[in-house]
Amino acid sequence: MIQFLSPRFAKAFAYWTHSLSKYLFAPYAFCVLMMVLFAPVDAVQGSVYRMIYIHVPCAIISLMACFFMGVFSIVYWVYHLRIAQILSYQAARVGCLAAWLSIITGAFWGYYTWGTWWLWDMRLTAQFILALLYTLYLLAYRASTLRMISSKVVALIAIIAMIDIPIIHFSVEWWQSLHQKSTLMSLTNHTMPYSMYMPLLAVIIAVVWLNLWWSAAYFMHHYPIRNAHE
Amino acid sequence: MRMNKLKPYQIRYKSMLQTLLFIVGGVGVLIHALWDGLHVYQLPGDLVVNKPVGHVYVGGVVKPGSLSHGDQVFSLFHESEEILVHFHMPLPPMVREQHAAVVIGSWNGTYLDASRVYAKHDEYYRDNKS
Repeated sequence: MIQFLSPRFAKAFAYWTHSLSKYLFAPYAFCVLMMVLFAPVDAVQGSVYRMIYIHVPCAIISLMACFFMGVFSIVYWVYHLRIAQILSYQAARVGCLAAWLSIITGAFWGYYTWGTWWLWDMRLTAQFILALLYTLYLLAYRASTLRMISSKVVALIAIIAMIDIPIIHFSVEWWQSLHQKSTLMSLTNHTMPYSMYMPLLAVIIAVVWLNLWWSAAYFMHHYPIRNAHE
Repeated sequence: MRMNKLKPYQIRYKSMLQTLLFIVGGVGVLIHALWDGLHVYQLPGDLVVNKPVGHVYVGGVVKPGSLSHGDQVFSLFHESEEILVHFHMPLPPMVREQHAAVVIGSWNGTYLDASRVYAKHDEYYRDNKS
């Protein structure tokens, strides 16, 4: 962890991620697109279920990014490492986009399956709160760069957002909700045939990769410049 | 005296842990207090026992053979409890017999007068051809 946060390692990691992604991501994305297009139609929901290939990766990324945002914020709080603050901010940008996208795609999916865009279901509400906290984090970060508030406040928002992760994940188990239970976490119950599951796994890897690439590019672009002023 | 021996990052670590504990505890107490209110719907059995007034959310499975689009009526059941639902609008296409549904309406003691009916799908996906 601390080794990862050494500027030398982080720069090398970002450089190699960026260089390899430039050539390898496009062919991989094309393969994933083909897998999704040729995945079979669901017996109950029809072709609408294909929304899972956008909705679920977005939701997973929003939770993963929240975890990293929180961990990097804690590291920043304790060790005052500038690199941790930058990585936390980039995680928030990734997560904010993913959280809002998961809500929007979920609304469309819900309209065609449940019959409603929105319901104050616990899963939906907790995800909405997460999206609001991400947005609040980004606004607070902007305010902290203008020296209007302390960067500790920004880190505190990230830590509060992290508490939301278990609530979102377990909301469908703890409470009766309109949102269905997790498919990926109970694959041993044969919730999904391989012909649908493999494309989903491929999309999740593609979206994680894409966000890692974005983060690497952001890091390469911003870390040396901002570091010079510190 | 012991405080003076702590390094600055150790003091910050302590303050971070205290803050984290405070937030986790606060949110935990809040969730614990609100627990029963966070269910989005009740079960048909709760409805018969509690006799709620006003709008209620009820979830269950549409009983096989009970759905009639002409009479605009179906039965919703969960385990052994069953209630009658009257609706006055076209249902979403995924509200079918033997599939779960969530009904919003008012309970008058004998049947549920539905203002909205939503389909609830489970976490299982099946290939159309198999």
